[in-house]
Amino acid sequence: MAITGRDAFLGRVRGALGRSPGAPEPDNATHIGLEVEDVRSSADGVRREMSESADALLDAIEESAATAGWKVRRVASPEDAADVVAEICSEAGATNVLRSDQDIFASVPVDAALESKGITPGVATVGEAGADIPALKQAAFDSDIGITGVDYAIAETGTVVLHPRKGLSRLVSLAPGRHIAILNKGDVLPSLDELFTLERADYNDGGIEGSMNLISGPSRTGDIAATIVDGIHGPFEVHLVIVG
Amino acid sequence: MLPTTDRFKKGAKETLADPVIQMSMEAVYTGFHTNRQSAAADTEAWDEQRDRGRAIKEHTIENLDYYLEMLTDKIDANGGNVFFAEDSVEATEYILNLARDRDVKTVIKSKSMVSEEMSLAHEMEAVGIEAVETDLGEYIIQLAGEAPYHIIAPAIHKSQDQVAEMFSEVTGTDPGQTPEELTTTARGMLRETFQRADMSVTGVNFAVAESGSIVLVTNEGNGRMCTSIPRVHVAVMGMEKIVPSMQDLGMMLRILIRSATGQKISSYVTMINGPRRDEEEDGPEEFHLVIVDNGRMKLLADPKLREALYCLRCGACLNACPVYRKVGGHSYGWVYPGPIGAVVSPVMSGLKQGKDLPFASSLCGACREVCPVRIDIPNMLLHLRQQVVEGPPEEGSVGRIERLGWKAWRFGNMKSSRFRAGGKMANLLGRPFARKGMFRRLPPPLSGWTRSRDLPITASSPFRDRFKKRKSNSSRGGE
Amino acid sequence: MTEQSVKTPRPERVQLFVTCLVDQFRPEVGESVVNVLERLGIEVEFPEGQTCCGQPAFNSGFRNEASDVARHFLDVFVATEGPIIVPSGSCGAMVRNFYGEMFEEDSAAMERVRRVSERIYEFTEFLVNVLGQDDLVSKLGPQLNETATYHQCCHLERELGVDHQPQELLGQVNGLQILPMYRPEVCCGFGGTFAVKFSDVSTAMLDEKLDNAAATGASMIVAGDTGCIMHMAGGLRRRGSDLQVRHIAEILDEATSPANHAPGPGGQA
Repeated sequence: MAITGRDAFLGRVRGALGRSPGAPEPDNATHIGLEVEDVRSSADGVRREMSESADALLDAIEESAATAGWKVRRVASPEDAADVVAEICSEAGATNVLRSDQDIFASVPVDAALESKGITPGVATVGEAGADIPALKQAAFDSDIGITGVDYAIAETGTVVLHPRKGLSRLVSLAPGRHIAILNKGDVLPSLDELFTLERADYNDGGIEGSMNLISGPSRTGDIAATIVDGIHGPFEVHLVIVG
Repeated sequence: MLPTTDRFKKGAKETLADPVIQMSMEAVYTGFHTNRQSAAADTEAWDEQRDRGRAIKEHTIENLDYYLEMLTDKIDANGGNVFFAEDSVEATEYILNLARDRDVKTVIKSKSMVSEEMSLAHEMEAVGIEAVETDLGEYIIQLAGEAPYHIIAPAIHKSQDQVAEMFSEVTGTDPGQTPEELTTTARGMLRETFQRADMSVTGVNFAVAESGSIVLVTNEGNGRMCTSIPRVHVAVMGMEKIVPSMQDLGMMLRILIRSATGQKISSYVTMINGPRRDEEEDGPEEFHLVIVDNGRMKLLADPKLREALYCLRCGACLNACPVYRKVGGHSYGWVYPGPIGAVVSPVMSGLKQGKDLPFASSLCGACREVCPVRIDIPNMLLHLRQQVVEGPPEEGSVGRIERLGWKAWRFGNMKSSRFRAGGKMANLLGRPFARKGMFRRLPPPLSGWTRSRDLPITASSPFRDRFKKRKSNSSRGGE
Repeated sequence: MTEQSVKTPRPERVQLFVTCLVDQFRPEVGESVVNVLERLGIEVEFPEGQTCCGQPAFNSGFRNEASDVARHFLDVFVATEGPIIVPSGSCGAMVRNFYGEMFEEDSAAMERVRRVSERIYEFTEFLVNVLGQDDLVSKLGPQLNETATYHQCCHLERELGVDHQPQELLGQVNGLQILPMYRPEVCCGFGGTFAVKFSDVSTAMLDEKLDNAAATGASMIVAGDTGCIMHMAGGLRRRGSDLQVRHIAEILDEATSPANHAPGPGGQA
């Protein structure tokens, strides 16, 4: 697209730094200069750890997510997970439920479980590219609960990571008053550092998604008389259903 | 924002006399600061992380041109637009033109201190665009028509009753609502606005040069609303908010958020890599990044002030500062209050007008102690004090009497005989006016002291006399 | 900011940098420093030419005036040998941390700065880091029967890194009950000329500090910097309060004074 005013601006930056134009590239070995192979092998190491320490990491996220304010339920099987999701929805008295279109729903039979409670979930996609964005937006704001899978979870901080993309809208986890995220064993990272290693590796391999959301509990504010209140603009209640 | 940095003393006096604000400001220490201390104690290798964070910022700022170029090339490749603005007027003009071009009626704003520099919401309203602050604290001060009081908690000075009354005037709700009820009211009001917004303006917590990403750190979710719904998303950024790579983000997020609120992480961290792609379900169609100078070049150009650009805008220095806690955010007279504000506000908006600000500190060092990137604020304040005294008149000045006073002080301290004589003379002249060795009232400038404290008279027998006597006694063999 | 890192073996003699405020306003503090050091078997010399370290002018932005006075300080102390003891965090910090800033363009002066900085110790830092606490403890006498609360002077703690020595020493004094105050690390509001130029704010900070100190019920506040002490004591006088403010050197003097020791076998002369 367009870049405006850069040359003059950078000229003044160089002037302020006391450098002549066209100064040599900085030594950025500790930042960007890591060879692509290094990043790739670090990422491979992260993925190995994710699978080898899957049980321990799942224990860790169970604890840290609860600390961060998620309501956490852990179940043995995908079927149990679907039942828990349906239970949460029915206990909340939800009538409008929206879910993303992600792979998780192929193994966790959420639709069936909800139907058995008399709830028919909508799927938060727009069909033809861009055809029905306003309707999707309306649906998200009108829904009581949004249900998604999880791309990664982060044990350090009790975080769920979502990359909006085809089948996964931004709003499905934001606009409804409650959000339920379903996490599979094997998708947990130890800390933020590993997340960004994977992101960098994906970037070097030809691209990352258009955006990424780290969600670590309900929406909060402390802006009125320094009192913490949940649910200002985002969901006031978030549930993490852990399978494994 | 037009600076009123010359009214520090007046603002301080008013704030000190306001019991509601004094009580509200306690939360800065008992809440934010205490939570930050706990988080620092609980985080492994906290000091090493701060060292590393500082090293990253130092490297980036020293090579700012390189990283700005990289960042903007990547944004361009991602399908975004970049506008470089020399000052807030240029930045505002770009955004207003864009809004007009895109037929924008309603703008939603997420937290952006740079947009406060621009008074952007005000400028938009002036041309008939509805501009709504969506961060609850910013929303409250927008209702009140005030400037932000704190970098991350803009309405911290308002009591619950004051907020309830303001909401009541807008919505007709009960003026005695609790924070929970007020939050629900605000949620409803702003939810409706989110849905019909045409354009959003957000800040930027970090921009990642390597990938052309911008990162927003929020707890409320308004940042996510702003970057999900409107057709056009404009992000406004101070030129210094860059980190080289995504790898740096993990650590920077860790030290930023724990320093700001003591949380391990905020409820939401959002990374944006350009406008939405065709196959996505929602998201803005257009992305614009406005990179702003507005006086930052002055900080960059002075090696002793350059580290002010490392600032992550976490507010930890405000929370630790006993001066800020007493005088409040408005006393500093521009966008940035507290210790970091005492440096950047006068430098960016004019040192002559803001010449009191570098002196409005006891140099206690609490700010430096809590800064996630170890910015040496006291040192920068001392440097600015020197500039005010020695610099050209455009950069402020001190009175003639004070200059003469320090010359006299110098004279008296160059020789111990003069020093001793000075003390003796003060003792002799002052004795008739002192009661039990203390003065209750003295003429200016010492009246500043005696307004609230007694001041002792100089000793008739100073230490150096006593020591001499002691030595001669002992050499005479007596005790 | 860090403690003195250059190691010194136990000296026989030290130089006293008593500070302008102690000399002129609280000479008894200087006497206490000498008393304690002499009881520990160390001879104290007082270079007579000393006046001030230059901090007041430096902090006010008047670096020319400050550096002239600082040069005089260097003249006086470069001509001496052995550790230089200063009963003040802010004056010690001025020499150790800020002289380098002032003279960074003057390599000859920097050499003198280095030679003096590496020898300078704050009083409690010297007692604990160089002499070792046990020395002082062995000189302590019977019960003082007092209560005290300790104020953490900012420059001592944050510029010099002396953040445990005063508390350790006070903890050893027999019969001295230390009652911690709320927010001991928060600035008392002195800040040099800040106290005069921004009198309203300084007073508000002082009031908070004095309220917190008084709330402990202690009979005195103990601190390590005379500027802070004068500010707090001046405020207490104005309030008509009985609460005393003492320099830590005075407490250690009292605690090791032969006059306090009971007569009898093993009693000190």
